[in-house]
Formats: sequence, C-alpha cells, structure tokens
Amino acid sequence: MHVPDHVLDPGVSAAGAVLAVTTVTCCVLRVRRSSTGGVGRGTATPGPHAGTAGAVAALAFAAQMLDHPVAPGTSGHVIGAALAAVVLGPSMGTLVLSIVVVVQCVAFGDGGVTALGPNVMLLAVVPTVTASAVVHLAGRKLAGCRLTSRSPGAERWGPAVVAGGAAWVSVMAASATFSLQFALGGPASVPAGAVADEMMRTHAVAGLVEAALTTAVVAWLVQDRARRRAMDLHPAGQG
Amino acid sequence: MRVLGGAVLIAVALVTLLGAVATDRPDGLERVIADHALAEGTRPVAPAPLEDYETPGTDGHGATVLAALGGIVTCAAAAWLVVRAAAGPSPDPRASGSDCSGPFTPPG
Repeated sequence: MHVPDHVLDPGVSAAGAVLAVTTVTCCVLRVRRSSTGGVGRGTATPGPHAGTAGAVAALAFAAQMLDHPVAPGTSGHVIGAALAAVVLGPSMGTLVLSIVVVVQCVAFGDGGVTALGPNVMLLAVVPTVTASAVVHLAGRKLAGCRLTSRSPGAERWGPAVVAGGAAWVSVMAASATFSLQFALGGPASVPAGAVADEMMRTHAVAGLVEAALTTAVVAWLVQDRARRRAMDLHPAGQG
Repeated sequence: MRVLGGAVLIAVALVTLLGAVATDRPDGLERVIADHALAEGTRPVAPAPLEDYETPGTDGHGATVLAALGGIVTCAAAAWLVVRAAAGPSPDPRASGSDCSGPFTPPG
C-alpha cells in the first residue's frame, strides 16, 4: 500500500510531507518527554527499550514484504500498526513505522520519493494513531470487565481481540487516508468515489488477515509477559 | 538486545520461508493504480539501489532474501538508534517489572 511517484499532485504531496515531518517531530519530542517523565504523570515511567523498537521495526519490515492473496488478482500485506501501537505506544509506534516507510522508499523504491510524506501519513501516522485510540478506548472498557471476570482466558484473549479489532480499523483508516489524498490530489479524470470504493472493499478483506495475525501475536505476548512476571515472583527453587 | 536479535532472526526466517510462497499479485493500492492507469508510462523520480526488493547481480528468491536481510537490519538499526537518541539509555526492565509501555498489562 505504497503510493508511487506521479499519482498525487505536488501540492498534496508537499502538504503530506509537511504533516508527516510535523507529526514525526512531535513523536520524537513525546518519546523524549515520556522517557524523562514529562508526559502527564510527572514521574519517570520506563518505556520500551530501544531494542524493542528495533524489534518491531524489523518485524514490520518483514511483514510488509509478504503479500498474501485477498481476491482474484489482488493481494494485501500486513502494516503492523496495531502491534506497534500495543507494544510501543502511539508516539514510538508512529516513529518506528515512519522509519520503516522511509527505508522502503529510499533503499527499495517502494513508494515514490515525492510521495514519501503521504506514505508516512497513510502507513505510519494514521493507522498507528487510530489503532492506539481504539485500543485505549476498548482497553478502558476491558479494564472494567476484568474487575468482574477472573477468567484466565478473558485476561489473555480480551486484549488480543481488542488489538485485532484495532488492527482491522487501522487498515481501513489507512485506506480511507489514501482515498482522501486521492480525492484532494489525484487526477480529476478518475472518479475519487470509485477509487475509495475499491480501496475500502479490498482492504476490508486484507484487514481481516492483519486482525487475525495481530490477535495471535498479542495473545502470545500477554501470555509470555504473565509467565515472565510469575517467574519473577516465584523464581525456580524458591517455591 | 536479546529481543532485538530474536526479532531480526524471526523476521529473516519469515521472509526466507514465507517469501517463497508469497503472492506477486499487486496489492490493493497497486491494483487501483493499475486499473486506472494512474502511473502508466512514468518512472520513479529517484532510482533505489535495491529496486523491487532484489539484490543487483543475483537472481530468484535468494536475491529477495538478501535484499530483505539488508532492509531488516537497516530498519532495526535505524529504529534502535533513533529511539535510543530520543529516549536515552534503556530503563532497567526489572525495576518496573516490565519492558513495555503498551496499554495491556497481564495479570500479576
């Protein structure tokens, strides 16, 4: 889902670049502030390691290379925005996926150089922020449910299913972003409504694959963290 | 760093194993662009060294895996460097019992 050169007009490409640079700069500042305890709480809160950010970048790059069939003659690929949002949070997740988009463009020619700004917006900023919002809103509901349910299955699969739903919404948001970019800066000879319709229909299916994979990975992460925490509380040999 | 190394290995394994069976059909956006001939007859503004995820001078799936290896390592290193520069040294995960600030915390 990378926009090549010559599809969007220069004005929209430039506006996308300005928006992308502004957003990524804000993300860097938020990562810096959160690491020094400046965001909201007033206390230093340990965030994810730089190593975790590198890990998400590596996996997102690999996942975006692997196209899977969606419909006759059409494929789709994972974006990884919901996973980045869940593991890294919205700011660091956006920053990491932006880095992936830049590498794809500069080193591999995936997405045009003139469309780099719009690509960062549609593949990094919008899906990660959207997924974060869904996870945040649904997570609050889920936290309320946890108080009344002590089922280990609900503890594991609740967050995973929410992340999966967020993944589907993030793919649709990315499709809608391209549709909007195309409506604003695509050639007038092509009806923007038809492009939007095709994008949304195709990505509604591709989003299901992303949702399933995200659900599985987050379920594994939740279980793994619970296991590690249990090992910290009850080290081997100490009961 | 164990997380980073493990993820790089998994990413390379994914591309090596699944890359061979991945479809070469156009993705949704490429299909829209092709259907409406939006980029027909145009060339990229700037050529990329590993165009189409293939290493120059090599053929077949190996060319893609080599290119992917470069991309995976570059993305991982760039993200590590940028986040390290922005956030400073890694926190001690055992100090908080967590190495992740994601919104979901498993039961303690």
